[in-house]
Amino acid sequence: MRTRARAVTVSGLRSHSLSAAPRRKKRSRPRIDSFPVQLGLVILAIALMILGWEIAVIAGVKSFILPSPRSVADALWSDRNILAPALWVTFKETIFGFLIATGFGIAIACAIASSRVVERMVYPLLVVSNAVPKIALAPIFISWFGLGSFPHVVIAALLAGFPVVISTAVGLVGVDSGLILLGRATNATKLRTFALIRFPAALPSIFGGLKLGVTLALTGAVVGEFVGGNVGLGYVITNAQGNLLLSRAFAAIVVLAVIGIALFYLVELVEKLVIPRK
Amino acid sequence: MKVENVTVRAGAAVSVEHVGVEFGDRHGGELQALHDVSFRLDPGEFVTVVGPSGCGKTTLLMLIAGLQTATTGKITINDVPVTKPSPAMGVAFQRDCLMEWRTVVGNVLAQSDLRGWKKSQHVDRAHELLHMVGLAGFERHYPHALSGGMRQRVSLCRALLHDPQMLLLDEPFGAVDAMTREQLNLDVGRLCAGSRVTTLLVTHDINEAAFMGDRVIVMATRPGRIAGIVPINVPTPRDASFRKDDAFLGSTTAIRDLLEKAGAANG
Repeated sequence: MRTRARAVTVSGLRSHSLSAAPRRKKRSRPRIDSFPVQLGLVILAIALMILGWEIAVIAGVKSFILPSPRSVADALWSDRNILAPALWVTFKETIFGFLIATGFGIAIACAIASSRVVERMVYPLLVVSNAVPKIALAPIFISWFGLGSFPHVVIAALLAGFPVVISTAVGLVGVDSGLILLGRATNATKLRTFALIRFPAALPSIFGGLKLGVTLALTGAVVGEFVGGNVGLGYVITNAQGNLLLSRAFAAIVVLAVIGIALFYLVELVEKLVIPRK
Repeated sequence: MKVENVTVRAGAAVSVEHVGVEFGDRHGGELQALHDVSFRLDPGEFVTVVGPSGCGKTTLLMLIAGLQTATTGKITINDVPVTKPSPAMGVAFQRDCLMEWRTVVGNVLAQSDLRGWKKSQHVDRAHELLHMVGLAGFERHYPHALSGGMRQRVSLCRALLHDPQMLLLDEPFGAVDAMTREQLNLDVGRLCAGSRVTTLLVTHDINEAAFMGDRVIVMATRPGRIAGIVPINVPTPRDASFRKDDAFLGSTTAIRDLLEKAGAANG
């Protein structure tokens, strides 16, 4: 949301020659949706949360139930030799799973959008299989593919794939009928209609799916690590929990949150570069 | 707006003969969208079509554009029957249908890109057209930064990029405010006259139809048909003072009479 607000500001600046002469005046006072104010508010919210957490610990919540923020921060540093390699493993699983989901997802969606037959065949299957809680398949993949990283990548890809397929297909099919008519009026071939109208028109929707997908890929990788294997942050969490090292488990969760946020904004950055409309 | 430097090229001659369109409705009956419509457009002529909604005026435009097929009758452009959209034709729709992801000049060039023509041949023409409609300096802007009137001008430049012989305009000013609309009427009139293109403009605005057309085709509903054709004997393009002219008032009155008579006949 933060970056969205900034994009609006930038476009406002660029188009000021059209109509935004009075808009410039307002700029002297920082507005609620300006970037520094937004950032400040987010930091404030996080600080308040940590404060509440600290108060709860001081008020007497036992450390084996809720470790203090300080002990979690300590664990982040003292357990770095455990957390860093685990982070790398989980990160790789997530990225590979996400890339597979993106490739297959967009390809399947293109097939659905360009052929009625494929649509009628694949779409109902997709709806049915989407209704199955995919993490329920995790134990099966572990028994199929063993204890390494590979089953985790598969689960990540499976979880991330659905939103990518569905958002892409919806974007490709739901193109403004006026633009399709323009394509017909200019005798555009099917390929050109796709490359110049359908695909670019679907990009915002595709990126919506990718942003959902990248977060789900991380979830999938961690669930895989919970279920089987001895690598990654998911394994660190289950292992720490078994050994009553709750501050380490919390530290691993903090690292996961950072990965999740970083990946989300990475996709959003790519979106900004690919869709130059603002 | 300047109209010099325009490629002078003869407009197309269009002939519409006894055209009818029927849609099957869901009860097995047939709905007549158009019934026995005949008229001709001379090269370089600006003809407007006016009528209430449901009279089939957009259907008529789609038929000439080759985007729909008639049930009966024949349409020819330069004596060639229309079977598919002709490359000698430019169309602008009611909604501007701009590609939000392309710049203004990119949107104008979409005409040649979609046809698979070499872009470099049309870049100069695109800039020239944008200059003519007063959009010089906006070439690199994205559509979301433009007003409705400006967006329609871009759409118009796109329709004219390949110097079509036939320009089809489907209520292109329906979504802009009245003042912008009058200005666009003036600009489009001059632009079309300058390029000698044969133009068919569909509208539901009687004043617009009378102001812009060499002739006005008045249509009626149920079934969609021609109620009459009103010639307006003042040469086009006309300037703004024509709106206060007696000839203008006479023409709009004649159009209104035709519409009322057709409406009364329908009960």
